[in-house]
Amino acid sequence: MSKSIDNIKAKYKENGIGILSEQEKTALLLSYADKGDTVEETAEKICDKYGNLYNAADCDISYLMKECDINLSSAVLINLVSQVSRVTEINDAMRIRLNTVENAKKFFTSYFKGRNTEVLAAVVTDKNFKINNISIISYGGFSEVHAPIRSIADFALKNECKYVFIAHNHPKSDNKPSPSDIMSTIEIKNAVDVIGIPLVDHIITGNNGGYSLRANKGDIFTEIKEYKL
Amino acid sequence: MSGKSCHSGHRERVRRRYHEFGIYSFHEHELLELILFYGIPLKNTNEIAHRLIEKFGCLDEVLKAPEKELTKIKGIGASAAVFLKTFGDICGEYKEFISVNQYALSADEYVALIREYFSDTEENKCILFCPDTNFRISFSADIFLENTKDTIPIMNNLVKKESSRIVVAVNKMNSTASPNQNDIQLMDIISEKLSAVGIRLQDFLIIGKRSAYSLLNDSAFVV
Repeated sequence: MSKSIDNIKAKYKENGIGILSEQEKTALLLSYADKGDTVEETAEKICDKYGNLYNAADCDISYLMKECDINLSSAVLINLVSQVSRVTEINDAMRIRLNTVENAKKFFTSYFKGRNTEVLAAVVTDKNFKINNISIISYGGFSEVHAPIRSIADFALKNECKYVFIAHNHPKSDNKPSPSDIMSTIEIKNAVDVIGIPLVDHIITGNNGGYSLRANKGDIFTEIKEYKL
Repeated sequence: MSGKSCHSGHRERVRRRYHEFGIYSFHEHELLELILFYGIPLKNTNEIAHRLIEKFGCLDEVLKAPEKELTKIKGIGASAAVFLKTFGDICGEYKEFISVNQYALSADEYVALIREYFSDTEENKCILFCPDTNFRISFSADIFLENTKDTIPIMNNLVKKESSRIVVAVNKMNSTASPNQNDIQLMDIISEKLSAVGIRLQDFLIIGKRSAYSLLNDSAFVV
């Protein structure tokens, strides 16, 4: 192991991860997969190609191996950073009971974190608002894609749930709903009513936080006393 | 069979499984077992992973645990604890990175970034660049022009990264920003592949020495 890696480890130990440059962070991580002398060189290559470790972490493993000339062990370790981060973030959020508007906003804000494109998600819960399952129904949000009502109904039915929530994000704008957001919510509410699964809320997240359609336009929805505004 | 080859064979199989099937094919303790491969050489990390999950409750809490608490677990020595803390810190920074970097670069900004990238890259090399995330993939035009299998991992990456719009740029920094027939063909092929997976081709740029040319918008500009 090179002296330089020892220096990086000492720097990290003393000052924490924030003090390290992108290349140093990459070299530090790689040193656990690669005990050879070319770790710093590889770290430099990765940062040159991808900008930083975190962009590389989102890359396909095969592609990373080929473009940066690294072995499976190193590529898997880099990839684990993004995958483990996302999974632990979502698992953490999944423990939230969606029995209040604040909890629902908190959950979906966490769930959509890091997404740069609009997506429409559906969540199904049991009678205590504990999350059973979550699914991305479509990419593109309400304004770009006709809300896939059938997919939402299918998802709700297949998961033996009591309630369903829908949510979508506005990655680059505020959380204000458009007229089509409201119309689509009514269509979805009517559809899931027919199959006996109430639509609890439609949460929209934007760069100013979460917005609850039930809290603001409650007349669209059937009353659910257990869901606290 | 030696202990070393027994564990190294198992570890290779687990990594291949991760590569082929992804994270969602792993139970939480199996994922931690895989992570521990990097902090604990040679030993069986499966039982250690179980002990850690039992003590701390979940993977996220293991990765946030102080080193002092980690070393109380049988099988976790000082260096393994340092590794887990390092990995946990890097994951923590990743979460910050993805939440902060929700910006869209303007055309001027991404052309400047691409030029900087091309200054170290060979002539005629191309990149696919996502202005929303600063994510980029470099490639040789031949991959798309000859429709090789190498286009598949590139497209996989773009879809996984949830890119909604892409800029393609060709490096001609040693000459003028003039498109040729290959460039036009490349643009058509890439545009078709992107469109098939719902990604918009925002721009196709030829980056020359002193100017750039947008093939998609049929306009030249000085850089």
